[in-house]
Amino acid sequence: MMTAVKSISAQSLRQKDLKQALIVDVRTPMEFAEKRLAHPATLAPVTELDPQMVALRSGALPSTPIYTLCASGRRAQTAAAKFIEAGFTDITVIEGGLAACKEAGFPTVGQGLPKTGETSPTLDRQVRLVAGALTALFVLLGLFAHKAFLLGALFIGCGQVFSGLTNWCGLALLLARAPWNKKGCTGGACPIGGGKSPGASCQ
Amino acid sequence: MSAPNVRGFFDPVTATWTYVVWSATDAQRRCAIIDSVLDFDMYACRTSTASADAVIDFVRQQNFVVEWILETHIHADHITAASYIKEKMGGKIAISKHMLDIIATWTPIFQTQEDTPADGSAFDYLFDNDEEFTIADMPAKIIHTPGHTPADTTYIVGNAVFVGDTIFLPDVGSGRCDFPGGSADDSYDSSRKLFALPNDTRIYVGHDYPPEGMRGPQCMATVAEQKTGNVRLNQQVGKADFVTRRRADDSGKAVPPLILPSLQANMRTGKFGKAVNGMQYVKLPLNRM
Repeated sequence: MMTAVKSISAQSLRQKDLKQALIVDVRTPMEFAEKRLAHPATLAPVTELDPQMVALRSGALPSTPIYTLCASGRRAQTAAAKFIEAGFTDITVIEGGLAACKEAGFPTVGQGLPKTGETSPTLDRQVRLVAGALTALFVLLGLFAHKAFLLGALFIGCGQVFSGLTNWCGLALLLARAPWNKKGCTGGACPIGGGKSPGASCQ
Repeated sequence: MSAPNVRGFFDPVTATWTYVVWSATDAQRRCAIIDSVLDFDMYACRTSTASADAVIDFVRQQNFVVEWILETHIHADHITAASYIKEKMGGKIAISKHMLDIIATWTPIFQTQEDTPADGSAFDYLFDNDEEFTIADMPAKIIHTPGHTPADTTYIVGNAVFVGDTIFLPDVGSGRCDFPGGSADDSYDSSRKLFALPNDTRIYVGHDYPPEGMRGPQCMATVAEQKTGNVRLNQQVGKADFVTRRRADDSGKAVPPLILPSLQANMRTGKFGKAVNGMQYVKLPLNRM
């Protein structure tokens, strides 16, 4: 059973002073690279979230107000539960995720596609691609090999309906663990990346 | 070895980390504030205090007593809020004695000798090299880690060290060495002083410049992580290679936008010059930078 957590609408979040808070973006590195809040947020994909490590690397405390953010809100719930389970006391899910934040007027930044030169599609497209391919494969196998394979297509179809109704997608969580979706991320809080930082600084 | 509690505050405008450091066991609830930020609108030449106020709010919420307001160096990219915090919360403003070299270098350039004490008396205390002191009930020590500037220093508090711009997170590297008195050779040697610390020592950096789209701002990596992963200074990198690359990368680099107001104010702990007719001024030396 999922732990009950607080939630806040993106509109209400706009009114908050976030100077003392930590926003944790729990999407995949690829999604983060594509589009993210302009407001600083720690990247910590939910599939490998280590709350203690995120806090340590972000200078946060167990009592620091933490807002979890994903694409639509579902993964943020899972991440919030992990934080609460680890002893953090002020955890809030941002309802509707990044999409709602954009609607509420939060500035976002991003490249459309990662700057690393990768051409991997978004997680959403990967899910559609894999689900469609599996469905077609099972239907073909059902037609030409054995009818039992049609159950596989039925399973994929039901899974998609379930995902649409609950906004929880096991296939997406599975794909998020794939190596091509982890580019630039190691450890619980994704500390090591690559690429270039802006000039005119002390770097 | 003590393990201090550390709360970090990130200023996205200047990419600066400010830290509040305290001990869980200190009955007097004393804390240190390291490398604070006074917000500065360069175009309007106007200061504000939102960043420092967030730190002050936290300190008040925790019922802390500010014991030390520490600077790792004279910052060239942001103005310190040390004086503002002292005014609001008390505490002693301290820095390494090597900042006297910075004052000697820069006050003739700015012609600010009149209101910038050459003896560093704008600060409450100047640390000697390797001086030991305490933060609350924790032993602390200062070590000289020059390179980015000749006055960069590191504060060691139990298993945490606060390095300013001596080194950055592994994927970012280290501070530039092209300011007056900066030295890539010294920067390399300073990194090796840090690498001599136990592998699980937490290195808290003065800035973070997260690689675009790869992660958000973070403040800490361990000595072991720096040794293996720092893109400029990992253990596999030799001194000659580092120096060659650092000098090449620093060549022709743009100066930090706030360098001129920052240096002037920071040599006076974040205060601006003597008022003339009730107005303070920042001097902008022409054709100098």
